[in-house]
Amino acid sequence: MDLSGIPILSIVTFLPLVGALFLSVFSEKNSGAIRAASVTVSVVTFVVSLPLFFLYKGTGVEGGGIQFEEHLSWIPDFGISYGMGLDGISMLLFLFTTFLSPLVLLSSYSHVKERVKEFNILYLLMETGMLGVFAATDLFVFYLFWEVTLIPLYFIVGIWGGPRRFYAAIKFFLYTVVGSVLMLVGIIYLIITYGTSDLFQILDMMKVEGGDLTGVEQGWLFAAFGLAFAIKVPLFPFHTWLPDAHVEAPASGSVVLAGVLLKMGTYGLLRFCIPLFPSAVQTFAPTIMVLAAIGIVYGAFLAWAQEDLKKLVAYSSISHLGFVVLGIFAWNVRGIQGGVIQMINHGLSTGALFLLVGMIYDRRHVRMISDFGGLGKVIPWFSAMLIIVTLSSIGLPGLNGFVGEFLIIQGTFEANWCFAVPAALGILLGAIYMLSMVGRTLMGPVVHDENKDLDDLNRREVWCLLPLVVMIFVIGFFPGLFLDKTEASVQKNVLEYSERIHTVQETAESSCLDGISACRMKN
Amino acid sequence: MSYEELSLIHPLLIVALTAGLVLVADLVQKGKGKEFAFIISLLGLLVALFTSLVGWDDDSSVIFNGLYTVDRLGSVFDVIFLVAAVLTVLLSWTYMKRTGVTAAEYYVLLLCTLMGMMIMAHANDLILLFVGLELLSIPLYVLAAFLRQRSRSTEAGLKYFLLGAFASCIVLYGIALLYGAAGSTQLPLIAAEMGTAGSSFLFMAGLAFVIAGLGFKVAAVPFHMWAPDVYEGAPTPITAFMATAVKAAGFAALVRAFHELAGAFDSAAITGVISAIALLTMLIGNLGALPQTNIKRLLAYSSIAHAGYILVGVAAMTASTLGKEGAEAVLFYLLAYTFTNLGAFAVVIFLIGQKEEYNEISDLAGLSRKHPVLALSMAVFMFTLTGIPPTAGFFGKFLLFKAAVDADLIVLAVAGILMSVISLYYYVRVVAYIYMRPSRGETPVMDQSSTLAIVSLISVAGVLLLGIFPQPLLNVLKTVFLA
Repeated sequence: MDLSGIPILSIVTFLPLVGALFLSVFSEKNSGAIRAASVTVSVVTFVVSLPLFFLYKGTGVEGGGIQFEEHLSWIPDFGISYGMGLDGISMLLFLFTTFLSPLVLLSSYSHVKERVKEFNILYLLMETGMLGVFAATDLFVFYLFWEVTLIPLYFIVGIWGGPRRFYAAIKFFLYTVVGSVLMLVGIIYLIITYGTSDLFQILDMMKVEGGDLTGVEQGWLFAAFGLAFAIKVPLFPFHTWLPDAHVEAPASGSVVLAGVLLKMGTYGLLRFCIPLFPSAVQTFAPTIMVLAAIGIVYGAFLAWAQEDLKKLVAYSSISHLGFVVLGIFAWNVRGIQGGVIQMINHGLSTGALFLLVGMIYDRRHVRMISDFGGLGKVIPWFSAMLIIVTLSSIGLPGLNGFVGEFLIIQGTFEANWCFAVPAALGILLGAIYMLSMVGRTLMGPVVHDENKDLDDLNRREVWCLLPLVVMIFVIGFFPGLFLDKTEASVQKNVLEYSERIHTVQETAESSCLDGISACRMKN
Repeated sequence: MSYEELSLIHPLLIVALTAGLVLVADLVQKGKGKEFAFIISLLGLLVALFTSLVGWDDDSSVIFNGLYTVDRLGSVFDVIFLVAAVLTVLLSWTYMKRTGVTAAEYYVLLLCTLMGMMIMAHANDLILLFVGLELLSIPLYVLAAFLRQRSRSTEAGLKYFLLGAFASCIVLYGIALLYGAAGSTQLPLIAAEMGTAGSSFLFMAGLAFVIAGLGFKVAAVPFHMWAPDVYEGAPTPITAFMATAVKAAGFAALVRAFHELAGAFDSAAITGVISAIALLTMLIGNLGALPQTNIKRLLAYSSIAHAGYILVGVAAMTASTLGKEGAEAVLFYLLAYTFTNLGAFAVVIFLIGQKEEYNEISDLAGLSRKHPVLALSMAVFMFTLTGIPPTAGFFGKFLLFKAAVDADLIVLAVAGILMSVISLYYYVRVVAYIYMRPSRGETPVMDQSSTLAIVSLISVAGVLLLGIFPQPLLNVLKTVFLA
């Protein structure tokens, strides 16, 4: 199948938007039809996007580059064009988004009972935003999509959230916007310096002799971009919005927040920070790795202390995302490969965990671990799913989590073995708090009478979880399928550009030598 | 005064003619409803808007013995003023009908104010600038106090009059000093004189006074004190008009002056002053808006804050001798802001139209359930005021801050952007009330024929079109500062 000439990425990206417009003509009262329509739209989006995985050339001569490219002049005065394209890294995340969206919409049936139409429209709008973030190759377009994802989530948390939803929603919004507006200043600076906002054009110009940014410029721009991404990830100490947002969000909101939205931060670090500002990365990488390591251990301890299931999962997210950042800033092929695959893994396992927590909450309307116990006998299907997902989350070999964590630790070890210690500690702690949570909810006698006649998963819920569980096994057994797609891209679109750093250093050294010789001449 | 010269100022003449027609028609149609005043004004304004858009390609020329410039800069401002006036007239119709005050004079005064603005934007001579300023101000004092049976409205009028008269004096004093320094009141002659002689203290002092006086009109800190009270008390369409067109007129005069005098003044000093004012204005405007519970006062403080953002563009303009980019950003932003704010006030008028008490942000609660389209448009206005893409407000801010970064005013750009984040809090609170709080039972009923819906739809369209496809307008603005 040849896709040349077909703007496949734009079609996939804007399909949900078209679906949202289509939904707006539905009658508010007909919630069944609205739900069916929006799930259909998201499934169609997934089906249309699926060939991208197979068509993407990850290996070979042209493998790993930006493919399915689209270019349209948009605001030529500032060199802004509507540019889309995928490499192996963004392709995986792009597809993961289309994969997860139908499940999120399907899961919302049980907890979004009011204002169904608005929820589905907002979600589809957000899907367009998320897809655009991963597909954009133009900084300005990237920024637009990035901001577009904020508003729907603000509404989703604020309208369908828990008791503290207003606070959580505005906190999320403010935190993220603080970061992203500073990134906007950085983007403006790059546009002024290079006359274009096309990422790969800028990178090519930087490779040319004398075209690179100075060290100071790189430092400031890295700070501007990095802060936006660090808040989104969230990297310790910018994480405080996340537990609030996760806990107050409806289950479907938490799933998409953990599954996709947080990945926009780690993706941004990988796509923009490292290639654009390698010298600054070299300077700041140790600091960021320290923060990531703190995040891993601190998040794990916090998760351990939680009595609320949802909070536990939320804090475990901070810990897991710390792994991803650690892998990325290990700055070698293994570490980054691990980071990329771990983004997907975390989306799968944490997404599934939030779904499961949501399902049990729908039944009991409580979330405290102490409210449960002995569920294994009452609802075996639910318990089986929870155990699989937990094992995936703590990195059992044969499941997906192991692949990512292994690669990350290997990469970290190569870079600096000191950081492998907290990483290993994080895995250990992860096993402790996850397994003890499972033990306290599923094992033992049924202490509460309310739990005695809970319904097991219904068919819709199984359909929500099954694809995630299947993927957990697929990645666990055949990681090569996915790693092959990304390896060349990691090499080509991330690490290759960092070669600039050596030339920068050399010129710095030579100018330094010149200075010294000039001094000698004077004397 | 030749026929050619008169034909060059046709938009102004059409507005004047319309004002006269309304007055005459009012005499003839004594005692009847005032629909005719509304219709004549609207048609006249639309014709003026049409002709100023059609007659666009005219070359720039200075007419009336060097008093009046006809150029693209002036024409762009004419368009901004006329768009604002058309939308204001539409708002006024519904508002005045609901408040029961129907008077043809209202429209006449509005048209006179408009003429003052157009003269200000075209003035090549400081004396004419002052005449324009007064022609703008005096009818506006009356309009602010137009609901004379309401104490808040009369208070607004009196306050605006006292402080406005004071500001006018300051401008006049500044003009006197400039005349003393340069020996002329014509901008190009002043520029030529100061360009050769070098700028003197007298000249800079005069310029500072003029900036202060115009700062009053645009509600820049520290000349902003009047704004919240006057905005709250004045009839709401007039508030909308003050927040958009009058502000644009103040900026028109500033842009014109800095454009003509470029190179004559000490650029570093003026940029420093404007930057400081911009910084303070953004700060006070945004912080002042945070605790507001009244929607009109919120929009008043927000309009102060937006004056600050626009001043960032003015600072970028004065920082370099070319200053093209900053000026273009100012024009773009003013047009975007005109659409946004008039749209937002349309929603406000809708709310308070029924009872004067519907003024609080909390009265918006549950609007999304009752009037989804209106609610959605208000949300769009709030997001564009914050500067969230893909709206005109975002692209306008992008241009302003880009101009600032280009002019090496990075601190100003970063400050402006952080202020936008603060503003997010109070704008989004409005959206939260609309979408997340349950209605408090009684809500106003939309009457279907209302002109308010037209205004808010035009505004939403304007905001989104300028935000998503800014290039056509940029192409136009590029030609403004060619000469």
